[in-house]
Amino acid sequence: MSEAARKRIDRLYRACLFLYPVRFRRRYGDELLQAFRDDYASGDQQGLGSRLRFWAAILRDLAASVVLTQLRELRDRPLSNRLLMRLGTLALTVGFSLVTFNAIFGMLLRPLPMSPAEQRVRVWDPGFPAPEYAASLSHFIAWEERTDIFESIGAYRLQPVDLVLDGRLVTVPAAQVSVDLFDALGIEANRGRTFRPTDTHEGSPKTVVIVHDLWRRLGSPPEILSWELSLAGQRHSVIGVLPKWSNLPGEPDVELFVLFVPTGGPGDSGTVRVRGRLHRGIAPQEARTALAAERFGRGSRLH
Amino acid sequence: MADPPLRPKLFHILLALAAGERHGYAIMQEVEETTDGTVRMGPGSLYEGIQRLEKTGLICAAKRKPAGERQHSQRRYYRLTATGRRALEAEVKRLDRVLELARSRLFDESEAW
Repeated sequence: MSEAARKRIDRLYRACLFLYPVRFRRRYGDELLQAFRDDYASGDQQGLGSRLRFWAAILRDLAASVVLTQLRELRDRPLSNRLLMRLGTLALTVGFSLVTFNAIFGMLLRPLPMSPAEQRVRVWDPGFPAPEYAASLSHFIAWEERTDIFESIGAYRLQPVDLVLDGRLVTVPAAQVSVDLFDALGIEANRGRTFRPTDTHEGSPKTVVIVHDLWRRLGSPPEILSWELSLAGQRHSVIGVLPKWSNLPGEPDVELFVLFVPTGGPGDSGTVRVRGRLHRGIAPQEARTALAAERFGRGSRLH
Repeated sequence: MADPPLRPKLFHILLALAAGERHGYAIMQEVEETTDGTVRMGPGSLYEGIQRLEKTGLICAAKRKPAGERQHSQRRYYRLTATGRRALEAEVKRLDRVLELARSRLFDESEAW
């Protein structure tokens, strides 16, 4: 999805926040916006029907929560302020209706430049249930082979790295990711590229992908794709910059991604978190049944 | 007099926080996942619930963000207070009694058949 489209959606939702009482907005506005971004980024936005369903749910959610918070505000505020608040709410509601009308027509009828994102699922080993939702590397490798189920599947593990920024050694939130993770999540770089299978070949240069925020912290260099960063004493070429909102859904913010290649060998242990994208036409329930039929040790779970 | 039942939305938020500190989106996800998608909250409903729970002292914002989360991130983490945990436990007991009653009546009727 392009940065411009994200900004447009961001502006729209930010405008909607003015429907809430001032105190509520000041306390929760930024968080609400972030939760909306996360929800939007992790949802299925491919196709007109999906977008309509998403926005219908968001509008319903907005309407219900605005009414409840405004009523609560009316109850809590002195009587003299009520008339003013009601008039304000009425004016905002009219404005909101106009903005929403324009935005819906603008966004739903004009296709967004998004990568295929439907049928994204999380897969985990039942031995690592909520809140971990993790899987062993051997399971992930087995799932990677299920190309009949997954169009794309990737794994990651959070692993902060130390970087020298402004002459100081700082710890940057980072993740090790398998080559297809970004494809599974539908995340595309807005500069350069994400990882490719050729990056995993023996002898290939070590590479990293960074997020917009880190690019800013590095001084917003326009020639970032010719930069190399030193991680644990090894030089890594920066091959791509992801847009600002490129979070791993439900995870703390990550600013740098390092490629890792799970081999399943004896030295390659530990757990990962797995995200996949099902083939079109394969329902999550169908995939769940197919995976459950496999003998992956303790089995697998999917939603 | 016993406390009134918790609204389902508030119950699910408390239940999500019973497993540990969470930010808003993580709560949304947890609720959706633990209910197999039958309960889905949007951001607005979630924070309306969070406001209500904060005002009644059942949850509060965590003072520190966990390691890995940037301190200037817009995500605020929430946690159950002792009062919140007691309210959740009371609600679970209430639901347990309702379930027990329902089971006894359903099973009794089945046996009667």
